[in-house]
Amino acid sequence: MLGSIWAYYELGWGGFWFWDPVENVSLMPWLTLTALLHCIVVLERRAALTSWVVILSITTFTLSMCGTFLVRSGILNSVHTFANDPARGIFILIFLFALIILSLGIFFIFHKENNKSSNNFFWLSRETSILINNWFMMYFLSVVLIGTVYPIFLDVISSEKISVGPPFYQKLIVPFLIPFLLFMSLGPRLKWIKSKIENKNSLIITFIISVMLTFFIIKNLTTDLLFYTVLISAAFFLFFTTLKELFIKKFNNISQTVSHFGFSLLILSILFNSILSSEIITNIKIGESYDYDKGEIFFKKIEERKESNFNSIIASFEIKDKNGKTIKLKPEIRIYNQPIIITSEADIRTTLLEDKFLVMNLVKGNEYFNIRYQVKPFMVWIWISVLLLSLGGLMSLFKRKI
Amino acid sequence: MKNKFSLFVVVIFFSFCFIIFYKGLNTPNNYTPKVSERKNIPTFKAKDFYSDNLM
Repeated sequence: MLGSIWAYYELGWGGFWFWDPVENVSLMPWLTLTALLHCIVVLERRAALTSWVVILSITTFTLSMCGTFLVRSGILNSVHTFANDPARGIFILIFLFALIILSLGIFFIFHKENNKSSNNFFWLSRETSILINNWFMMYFLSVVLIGTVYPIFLDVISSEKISVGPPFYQKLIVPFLIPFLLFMSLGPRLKWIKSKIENKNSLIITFIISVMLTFFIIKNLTTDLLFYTVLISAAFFLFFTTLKELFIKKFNNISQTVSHFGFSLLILSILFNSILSSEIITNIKIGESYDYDKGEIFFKKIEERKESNFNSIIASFEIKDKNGKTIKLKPEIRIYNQPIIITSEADIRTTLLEDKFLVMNLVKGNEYFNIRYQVKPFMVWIWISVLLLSLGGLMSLFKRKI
Repeated sequence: MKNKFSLFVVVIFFSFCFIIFYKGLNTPNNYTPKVSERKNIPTFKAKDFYSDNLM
């Protein structure tokens, strides 16, 4: 999350997630750790899934090490692979595989078969829903892992260079979020060992409200109406059920409710952000204005500023929307002198509903500047929801003390 | 017995991965920009100040 915020505000990338290998290797241990946290609860309550908990613990630590190897050895091509060194990579690789073989060796040699009956769960119980979502998380992990390391395997085996981009991950992950979100909504309402769905009517009403709300919000916004309606409805369903729990149960199992609420908020923010975002890329010179369907961008002037280690070109833009409301944005180009590096500093106007983001670049040998203006809804909610998720995880550490 | 077989399979699988990563390290994918710099080294002739020999 911190990396995302840094890339968004400091580097001016204009987004929060690009499925870059470095981002992926930080996501993978998070997935296994989340699965592990849930399985530990099952282990605590039912004394089941012992082996799975051990495997998840090993996997989580191994994947963290694997991340270090992938991004610091130079084996992968990424914008993040700075400070890499193949010679150091060999040491990390040996350490990584020694770690894997040793830990799995110890596990397989000393592991004793559990009483099978403890692993037989009733189909409608909390542990079953946790187990099913564990499978989903392992599926997400497999997709991310394959997408990240497959280019290396292909390069070594057939000398063919490919890069796996966002469409691969989105096509394989996003549809499976629907059952994942539904199980997240229903799971906490179930009891351990054997359960039945209580308050069915309330659940059905919440689900219908979620579907109707989604349909009315997005009916004119996307071409893929059916898919997005189902997906956003599932996210709204989780949002409303956790919100309800937050008010009804108050401080009972607050860590779980806060995390699930944060996750629903995260999915909703990401989905609305991707559906409603708009972008304009154009070349513009001083004194010129650019009209687009939602308003006008006016390039007013540029100023120069000298600092001890860089010179800066600060541009002044006035962006007028359809209602006549004007905002002033001042993106910057910095030319650092030791060594000579040109960087673009975006100007971002953040509100609770949307971010207005403007970044500019030089066009060589030309009086024109290249600008990228983006309107990105609910950006701030993405950061808030991740904070809530982290807060929930942190609370679970001190659960017994609360 | 089952555990030992599983361990054997795991060791084979990870050994394969190790070889792939090891070979991958030999051809690192570090990003290096394609910059072609052609420096023209100036050539000139001059006389040595003391001997009048051409340099």
